[in-house]
Amino acid sequence: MTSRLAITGVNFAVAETGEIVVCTNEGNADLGVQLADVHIACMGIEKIIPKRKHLGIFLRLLARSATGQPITTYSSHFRRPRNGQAMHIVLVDNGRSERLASPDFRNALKCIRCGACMNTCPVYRRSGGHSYHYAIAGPIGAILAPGLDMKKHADLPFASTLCGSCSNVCPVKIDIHDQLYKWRQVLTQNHQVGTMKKAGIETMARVLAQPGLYKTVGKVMRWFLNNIPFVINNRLNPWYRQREMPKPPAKSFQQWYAENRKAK
Amino acid sequence: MNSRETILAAVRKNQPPAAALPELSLEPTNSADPVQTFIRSLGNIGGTGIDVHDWKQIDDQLHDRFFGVGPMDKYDTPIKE
Repeated sequence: MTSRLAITGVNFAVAETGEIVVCTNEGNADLGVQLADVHIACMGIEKIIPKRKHLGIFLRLLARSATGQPITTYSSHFRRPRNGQAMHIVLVDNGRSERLASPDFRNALKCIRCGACMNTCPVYRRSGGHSYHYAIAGPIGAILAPGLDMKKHADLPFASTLCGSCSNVCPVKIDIHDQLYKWRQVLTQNHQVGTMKKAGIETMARVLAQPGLYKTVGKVMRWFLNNIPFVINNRLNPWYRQREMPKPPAKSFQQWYAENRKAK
Repeated sequence: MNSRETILAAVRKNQPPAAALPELSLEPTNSADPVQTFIRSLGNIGGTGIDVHDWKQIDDQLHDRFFGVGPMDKYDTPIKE
């Protein structure tokens, strides 16, 4: 409340009028800006839309896809500082202009940060945002992060089932799951896939390619999880440090289906 | 070359091919007065909508409803009509 400086993000900037638009449901940005002597707004260069008449479409898309609201509670337009206040707008590139040159990945710049891809992603819903170790979590974070630092974020494009639900719900039609798949290829070509991960994927491919082996491995894993879970659920396994595995089923779907089909 | 020029040069250099705007109707689909519709919706969720036409009317409303301590000359107004 007593801070003399307020920093906000920017949801949209309108080229026609020079205004910036900040959307919040709590009014936190407005409170900060109205109380402070200095307002600093930071925005990616992809936030610029051509005209004000386009803004309504984006505002509706954002709120509808983020929380299902018709519009955010506060959609604040800033065109100039109030009397006595200083206002600065920082346009951030940070690799965006380079990303524009890539036909495979430039579509990610269309993101309006609604979060719909996170809400629908089966991996995100199980693992949570912190497991992505990047400011933007979920499927969209997994395609943005490697563009900034391929080595640091090489694991993220693999955190997906490639089910395509993210692309299906994306209001600006980003081909997210296609880009995740392409990133995997780029990372492999650039030798950013670790030996353990590579061996694990190859082993999994062999198991999935052989139905008999798949059934046997399934039985063995269910037995381990039911009888001696500490072999897998221990401190050496990073997944279990903060999470519990759901109780495994007594039988596989295949066994259940065979038994029930016989009964009928 | 400063950072502004660097970014603009990169954006110009890496421009994707232009695409046509999608066919979207930007005209309101509801012919009802949007201000009155908004005021009615606001009332439905417990708010009060007041139709004003200039800054003086806003000042008066704020004065009557919240301050009641005299003219609001001392308050800085964000928009000068």
